Amino acid sequence: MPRWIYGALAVLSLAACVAAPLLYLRQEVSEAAYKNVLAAASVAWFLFGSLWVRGAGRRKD
Amino acid sequence: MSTGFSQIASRMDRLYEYDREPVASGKLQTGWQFAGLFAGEHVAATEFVIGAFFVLHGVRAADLIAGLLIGNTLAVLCWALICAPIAVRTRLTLYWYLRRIAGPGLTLLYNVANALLYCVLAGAMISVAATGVLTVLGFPAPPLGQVMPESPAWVIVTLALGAAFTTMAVLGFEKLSKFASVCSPWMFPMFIAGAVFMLGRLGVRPDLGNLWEVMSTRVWNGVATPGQEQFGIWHVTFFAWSANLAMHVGLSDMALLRYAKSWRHGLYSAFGMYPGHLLCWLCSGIMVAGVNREMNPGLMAFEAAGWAGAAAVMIAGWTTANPTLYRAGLALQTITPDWPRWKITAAAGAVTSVLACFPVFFLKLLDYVAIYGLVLMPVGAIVLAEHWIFPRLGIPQYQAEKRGWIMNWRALVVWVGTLAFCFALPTHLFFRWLPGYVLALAAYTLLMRWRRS
Repeated sequence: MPRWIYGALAVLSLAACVAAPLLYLRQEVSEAAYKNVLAAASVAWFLFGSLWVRGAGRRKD
Repeated sequence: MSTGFSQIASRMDRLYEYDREPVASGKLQTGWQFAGLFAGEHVAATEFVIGAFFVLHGVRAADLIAGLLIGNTLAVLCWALICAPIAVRTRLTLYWYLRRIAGPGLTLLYNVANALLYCVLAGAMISVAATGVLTVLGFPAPPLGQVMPESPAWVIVTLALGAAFTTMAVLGFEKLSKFASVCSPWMFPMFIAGAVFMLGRLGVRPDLGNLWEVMSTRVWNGVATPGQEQFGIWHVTFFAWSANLAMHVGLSDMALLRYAKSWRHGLYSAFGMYPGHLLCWLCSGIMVAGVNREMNPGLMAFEAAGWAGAAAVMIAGWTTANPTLYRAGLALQTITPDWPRWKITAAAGAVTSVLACFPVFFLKLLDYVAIYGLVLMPVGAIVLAEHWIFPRLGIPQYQAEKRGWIMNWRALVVWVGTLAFCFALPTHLFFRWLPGYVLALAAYTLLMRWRRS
């Protein structure tokens, strides 16, 4: 998969980390839903972020 | 004694040989690279504790925001106007520049002091990570004011984490550094998420109409927790200014800024200060208010952000303790002949793990951070005087290098004398470094001028 896709997915994951509590504050999601979204978005960040960084390392080589 | 110092100094020189030469012009970094470095370095595990302590110390909301803005701006200016110009002119690390000024003996003492201070700091980071594990396992963290380890669960968890962090630092510092570079951008949104969630719990309406009212009555309400000293705007200002005193005024960030194209790149420290030491401290303050001011970083993060929050505390502790352990090992390697890197890192990790069992280091983190900067600050004053003041007064520079001194005794007298003066000053700990810095500048200049006459 092209590296830019990993980058885009990683950035989207971070955006979800910030959007989830805002939705909770606006009372649009429950506390449990907010925490689940945050956990899932964090896992996604580590997955796509790592692939993104690894791609950068390979390109340098 | 002089022969012993010489032998240790030559071993030390071999360790730092790779950065002996000034940085070549082709290796200079762009401003944005500095922005990334500073941003990653200043969103750490300790941010969970420092911001929370301002709430416990009864700082008012307006005082906190004004104090953080002033203090962090002063810190950025110190990087840009004190550290970066010397780094850019010399293109050397503090280690090699101090060696020319104060001789290898004093550089050795500086290294050992730095290593011990690093061990305590890494211990505090392990303690913060341990609160995350204890929260998940359902055990309480040590209460405020506790000095000695009292709970078996605390001791077992801190020692286990210390052993795990040390093993990983021994096995692969480079790989862990890469992992830390993935963690850094994630840490900042975790602080924001935790604080925004806690705003709702504290009663902030969805339209944010009562935000300031909640901030000033339920978070930073000006009432200190019993047993905690009352802080005001100047405590916050001086703490924010001196939280990285060893790095800017103490000049240890010469190692970083010697790669800068211009002294203006010191201004990129703003990318670390304002998100890390302003927004993250505000966020952790809101989080501690949301758990009824219980000083337990693990509980704060778990309540505010669930499993992701507990992971954030543990990962922040891990990724920030790792380079600190590495630096402590590097500094200690100078006094352990023929020890391989893994062995000295393991030894530093063992000392750090034992220190982490003492909750006092993270429960008194503000005082420790102030002492850390204070102890190394006189060395920065000595280098500043030698670099800028001596040429203007016609005092010969780099006498230790030119005359082959093992130790510049005047520099040692100034360092020890300044510390004695600072610890005797009848003012709050956070305010002592500034008069001490002025004294060190003046005393070193006068002593070296007197020597010449």
